[in-house]
Amino acid sequence: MCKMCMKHGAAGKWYLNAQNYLKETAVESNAYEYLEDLWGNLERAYLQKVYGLVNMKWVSKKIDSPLLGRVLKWYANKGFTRDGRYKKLKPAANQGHVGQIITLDEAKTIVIEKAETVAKALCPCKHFNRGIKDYCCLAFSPLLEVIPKLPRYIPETGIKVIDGDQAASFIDEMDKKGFVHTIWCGPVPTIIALCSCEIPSCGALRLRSFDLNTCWKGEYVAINDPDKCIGCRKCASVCQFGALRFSPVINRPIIKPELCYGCGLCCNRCENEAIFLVDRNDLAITRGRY
Amino acid sequence: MGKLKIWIDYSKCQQPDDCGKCLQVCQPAVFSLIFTDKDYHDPKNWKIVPMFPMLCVFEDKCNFCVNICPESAISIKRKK
Repeated sequence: MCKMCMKHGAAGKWYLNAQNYLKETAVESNAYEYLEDLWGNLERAYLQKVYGLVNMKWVSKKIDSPLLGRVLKWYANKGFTRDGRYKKLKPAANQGHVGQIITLDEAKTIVIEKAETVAKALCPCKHFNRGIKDYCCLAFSPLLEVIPKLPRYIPETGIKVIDGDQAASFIDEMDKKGFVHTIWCGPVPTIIALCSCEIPSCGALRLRSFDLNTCWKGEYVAINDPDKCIGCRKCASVCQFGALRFSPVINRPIIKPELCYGCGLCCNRCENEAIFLVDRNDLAITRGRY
Repeated sequence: MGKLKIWIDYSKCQQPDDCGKCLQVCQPAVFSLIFTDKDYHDPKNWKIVPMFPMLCVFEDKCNFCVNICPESAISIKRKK
């Protein structure tokens, strides 16, 4: 078990701990002040992460260089470690605003049982990466109080309060479209949002290709059972991370566990329950690699 | 192999929030719609910047963003 879950999970996964959704946790971790800072600087932080952590042009050009780039990335990743600390974070560099990929069942449990208020909101990432205004984020109570103060991405008409069952069917709908579900905290351990997005449009997931761990991989890894599999190829089109490929030679999919993010999309597509999820820490190749 | 440069002529690209065609046509999503330093709460002051030029894989073989821009404001060049 990781340090994050030990500290904030109450003998379980950190995002399934109902305490992290409460108002008291938000007040204790100074979430309202932090979120206002974060929400005001959302893409500024986004710029700084890739183009330099301090706002200097010279540093920003070095992020891809072999030696200095490694140091810069290590420094940037300090804000996204799984050790569960939440003090001394810089909202201007998005530190403390980390996410993790969760499965469909977990997402439904969260919106039905754990979260206090759920609201459907327009997605800022899709807006600034693709220019599309689309509902795909579910915001929880601490974020709901901050959004109306800074209405540049989400105007008053762009947010709708819904109940748990509506939210669950909304997540179902997004899953059918092929989006992965992510849970977001800001700052650790307050949980503020549940998003459904895809890899180049999500502001944080795409930064994984620059070795910045803004969104952790899920707690699971997908494994294919060749006896139950019938080779229908339904799973082959959904993987966003390049971990699953259908092999015509053996007529079965091939899953690379080191690339798998554990989102469970391929499992949901499978009608014969041939693909199943195992704990990430049970496999030697993926142990502790989030 | 020099560095790839993507230029956007901001005198031609006036309403990026309403248009946004280059954002959608680019497969690796090189462009991003971000605020300017003047007033970032006003969508009229936003602009499109080539945020990740290192992701531009097709270079001048694809040119979709250059062709789709109604104001022809985008140009791609490789520095020698």
